[in-house]
Amino acid sequence: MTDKQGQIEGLTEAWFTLSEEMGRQWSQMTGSKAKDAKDIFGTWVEYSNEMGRTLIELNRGEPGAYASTKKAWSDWNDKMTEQLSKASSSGMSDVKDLQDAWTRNATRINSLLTEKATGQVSAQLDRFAKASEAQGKNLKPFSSKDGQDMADLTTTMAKFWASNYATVVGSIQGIIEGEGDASSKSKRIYDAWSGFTSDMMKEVMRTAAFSKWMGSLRDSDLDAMLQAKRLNEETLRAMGAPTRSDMEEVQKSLKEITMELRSFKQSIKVKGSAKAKDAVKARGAGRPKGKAQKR
Amino acid sequence: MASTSSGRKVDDAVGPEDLAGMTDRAMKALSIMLNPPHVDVGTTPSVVVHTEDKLRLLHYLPLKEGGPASPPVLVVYALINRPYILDLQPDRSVVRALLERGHDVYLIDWGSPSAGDSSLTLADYVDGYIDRCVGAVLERSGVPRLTLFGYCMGGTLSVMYAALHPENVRNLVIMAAPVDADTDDGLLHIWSRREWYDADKIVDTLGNVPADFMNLGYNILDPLLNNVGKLVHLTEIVDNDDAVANYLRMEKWVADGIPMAGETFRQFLKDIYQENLLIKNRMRLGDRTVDLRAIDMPLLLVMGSRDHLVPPAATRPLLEAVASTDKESKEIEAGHIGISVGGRAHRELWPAVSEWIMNRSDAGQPPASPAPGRARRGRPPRESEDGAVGLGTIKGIGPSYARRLGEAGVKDARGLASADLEALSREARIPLSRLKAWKRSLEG
Repeated sequence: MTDKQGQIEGLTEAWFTLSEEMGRQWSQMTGSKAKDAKDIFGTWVEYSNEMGRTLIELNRGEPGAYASTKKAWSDWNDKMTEQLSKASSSGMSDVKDLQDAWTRNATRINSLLTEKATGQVSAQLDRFAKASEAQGKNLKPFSSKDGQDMADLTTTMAKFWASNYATVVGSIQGIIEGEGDASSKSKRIYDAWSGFTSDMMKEVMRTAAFSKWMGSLRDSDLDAMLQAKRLNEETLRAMGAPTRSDMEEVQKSLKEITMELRSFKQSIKVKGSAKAKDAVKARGAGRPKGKAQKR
Repeated sequence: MASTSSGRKVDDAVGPEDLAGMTDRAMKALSIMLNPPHVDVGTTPSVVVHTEDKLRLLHYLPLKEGGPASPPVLVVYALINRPYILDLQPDRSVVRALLERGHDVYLIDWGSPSAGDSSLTLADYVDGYIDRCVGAVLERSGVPRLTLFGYCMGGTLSVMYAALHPENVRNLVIMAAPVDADTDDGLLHIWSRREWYDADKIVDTLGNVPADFMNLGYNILDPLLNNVGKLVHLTEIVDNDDAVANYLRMEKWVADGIPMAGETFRQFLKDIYQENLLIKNRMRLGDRTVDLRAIDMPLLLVMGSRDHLVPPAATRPLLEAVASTDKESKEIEAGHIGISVGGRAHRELWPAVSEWIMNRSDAGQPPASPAPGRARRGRPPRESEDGAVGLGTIKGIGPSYARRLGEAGVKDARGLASADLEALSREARIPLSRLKAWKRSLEG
């Protein structure tokens, strides 16, 4: 029997026990007391049916059944606890046995349901830890036939893994067992693990082996692009059509002409200004000096 | 609190409500990523005061009454992404932060280069575009010098400009700019080494280097964060409309890159990242050498201690390489982008940067327009006393060269035009080629 099957059977059995005990307590009530507790009975019947239905789905292994079971139980437990508490505080002393039976069984069902959830997370972590530990063990340096670069790269990874793996798993375990709601714990677990892997990648990316590998990947991409471009352009040339390179050359020439013109205009401004000054001086006109030359 | 047989607490285990909520948020996040709603960026009002090719020079409208309280600040951004990262959203805008403190802010929007621009070099950007933008700003504002503020690659360009034209720069603010490649702190410095990074092959194949090509390199710097982590973050903030809008603005900017002119990329990669020429005072722009010792104005370096693109070690050495006596650095715990858009940067850093500039800009004094014919402070005169055209009209002649020429008896443009250049070269200790270039510019 798997853990999961055991948990489902435990839940079903707990539900039967609850029903049995509650039924026994009910049968021991006198008619008048039972009449007084009819609201409690109605609630029990109503919600018990829903709980039974979801438990059947859970036993069949239907998707989402665990969440429905948990919700059905939560609704039922809240309502019953509220009604039993209300009845007890209003002087119905005979309802105490009912209340005790409920509380005793409810604690067990609560435990079973939450244990399943925690068990799931815990089991996932265990599986993950085993798988990743195996990965780490596989990060042995490559043999010489794989080349020194690959050996350097994997040695870096393996060293980082060996030095930091236990720490990060320990910290994840601490998060699971520590305080906090599920949502924030999930984020903290993600942060811990992604921080670990990011740091490992950064160590790897600092190696010469990685830079060489990235360089050769980039160069081969560029080679492929260049070949494709040449093929296209040779085809276009054979057809007598202008190529992209031709068009770019035209654009470059235009740009250079524009820049030459700009430079020429600037020098004309300077020269023009100098000539104007000479002319003013030659005429001997006592005109006011102009503003500084604009750049 | 109940516990399992293994002692684990069980009251906080994952319940169906948690799972349903998490799934719901993940679906909403995916939906936003697939169909992102429109977000506004760069909304601070500005006017275009100068255009040239693809470039636009923006002048931001003042936010304070009474005109600007400091000489103009010209912002030079990188040639890689769009400059609106400095005005991403109103509450995290460097531009707005400066305007609110009374600065007169200009910004160069480079635009996107086309195939025809692929032959543009660093000299075209520094000695051409930036110089003409500086000229336009000085003319408009009527002041002799401005504060030059360069960010990222724009910072490197600004360093080069300040070294070549110190007479135009009142203060120099350099933020997260690669200046010294002799560091292993950033992966980009390792990956771009010439042993495995063939800049020639890239430019010869691609021409202009596409934004996506460069983004691939940035993306792989932190693949988990950039590809998974940010989606996880979106699921966390998905119910907060303002936070989602801010997230989308950043995503928009990241995806809104521009290509870099091929020759500029080639030179930047080889000279700065591979040969490290700038910090060694051996960088050449056109026929000029960039000597960082010519930088003598007040210098402020701004760096992010968590900057993995341009680590502080790549910027900090500038402090020792310049001749400035008034110099300091500010380092904040932030990344390359966080320096400009981070909440902490806007609480702590930008007020301090503003104050630093104000303290060195005759704060509170409105810039006075120069009288007609009056030379700009710090520049060689544009007219000599007898009305002849001054040496200041000639491109490339700053105060230092003007002084040397004057000592050799050349006081104005006419004197230069008629001078024996070989003799002048010896007497004024100015390269003959430079003198010839100046004379050619006079002859048109």
